[in-house]
Amino acid sequence: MADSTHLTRVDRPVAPQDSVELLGVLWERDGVHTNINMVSTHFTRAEDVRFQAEFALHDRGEREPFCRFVTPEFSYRQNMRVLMKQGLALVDREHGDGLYFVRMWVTRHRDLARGQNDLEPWCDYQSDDGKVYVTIPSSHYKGGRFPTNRNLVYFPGAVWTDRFVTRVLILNPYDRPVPCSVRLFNTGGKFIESREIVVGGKDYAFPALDEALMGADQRHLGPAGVGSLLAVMRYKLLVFVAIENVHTGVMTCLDHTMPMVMYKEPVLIN
Amino acid sequence: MYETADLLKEARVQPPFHGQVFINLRQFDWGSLRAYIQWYNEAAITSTHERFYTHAGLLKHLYTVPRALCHLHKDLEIRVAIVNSDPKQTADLQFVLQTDDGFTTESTKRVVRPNGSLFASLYELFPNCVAILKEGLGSVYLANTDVSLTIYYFTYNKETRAWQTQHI
Repeated sequence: MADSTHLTRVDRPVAPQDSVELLGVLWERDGVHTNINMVSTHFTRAEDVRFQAEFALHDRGEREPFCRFVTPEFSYRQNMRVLMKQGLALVDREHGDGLYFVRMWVTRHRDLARGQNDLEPWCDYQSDDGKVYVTIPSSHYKGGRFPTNRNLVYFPGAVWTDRFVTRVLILNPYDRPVPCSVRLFNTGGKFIESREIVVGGKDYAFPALDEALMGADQRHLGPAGVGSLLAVMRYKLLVFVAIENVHTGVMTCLDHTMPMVMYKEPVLIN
Repeated sequence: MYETADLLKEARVQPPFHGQVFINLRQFDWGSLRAYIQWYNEAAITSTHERFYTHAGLLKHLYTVPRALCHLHKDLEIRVAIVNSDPKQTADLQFVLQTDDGFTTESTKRVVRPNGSLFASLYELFPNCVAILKEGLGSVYLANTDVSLTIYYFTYNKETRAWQTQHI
């Protein structure tokens, strides 16, 4: 397992910066920690080939990273687990408020064919008190396999009750700010639209879909408190959705959204 | 929106129960239709989406080796939920527990009948997992099988009584 004694700070990029880039939010405050885990996928064949990961940590809204570090080399037989608090320990001064923007690349052996060896990155956030425990698969934005970034994405399980509130996590990997809004649909198909959310360049937003943002109260999703949401963005960003118990602070739901796809009208069988 | 508790009641099935929810959509195009599942109790809500499966033209593929990262902790219980999505073929499943440095241990085989399911904790699959995993960290994966499977993993925090899930 990677630990702080094996992470090495570097001054310039090591991995090819035009390769697949993973994005994430680094959350290291209030007892919440971020781990990034890399496990090899099923089609991995050359298990003894080695790889290493490079991380760039950005203060929110800053184009240039304040820290770059690399892991030791791992083989595809191993699990790479990077505790981000150990990466932060490489920085010699305090930065920001414990919430950062992180980019990651993985070096690739030149003899490997594309798709021969692949890794599944999993980000997990865990708090010391156990209240936050969420895991999410990769969030590629450049060169990745999954088209998670569109400028219209939806999520079918928004919840808004006395006990639970839904949050959207919007990541902007670009240098310019992008305006967005969220439409919250009830089961009858009616929607309300949030105020504009401007996500700064190399920054993210994590607002709760509450009365202040949505301009209406939870009765919109009543009586069950369940609906769906559509994120509308001027330009395609990465959007995730979290659901939190506002009474206890427990958050165990974090999931990705899907591109809104307009197919042709369904053809009924029979 | 359906409560599975109501569906079970209609089917006169007494809880506790685990199994497969199979939705037969009578249309060719899904468009943006998704079946989204939420598991909840008073402590927390956790959710993920369905796994697409079709009988028509299904290739017999070498199935994935999905891995569930596990983090053994005294308050956490780790479970895998697996459905044999193949309507005809029985699945002989063998789990592999891998430490972070690559050491592997195989479980005894578990038989899951067509359309059957398995909801097993890591302790049931690997009774000696505490001794195997250094610092409680490792991953679980399935040895290759040519049967189509639908797989989720769950963690249950005994202290907060919160469930967390992800598909694999």
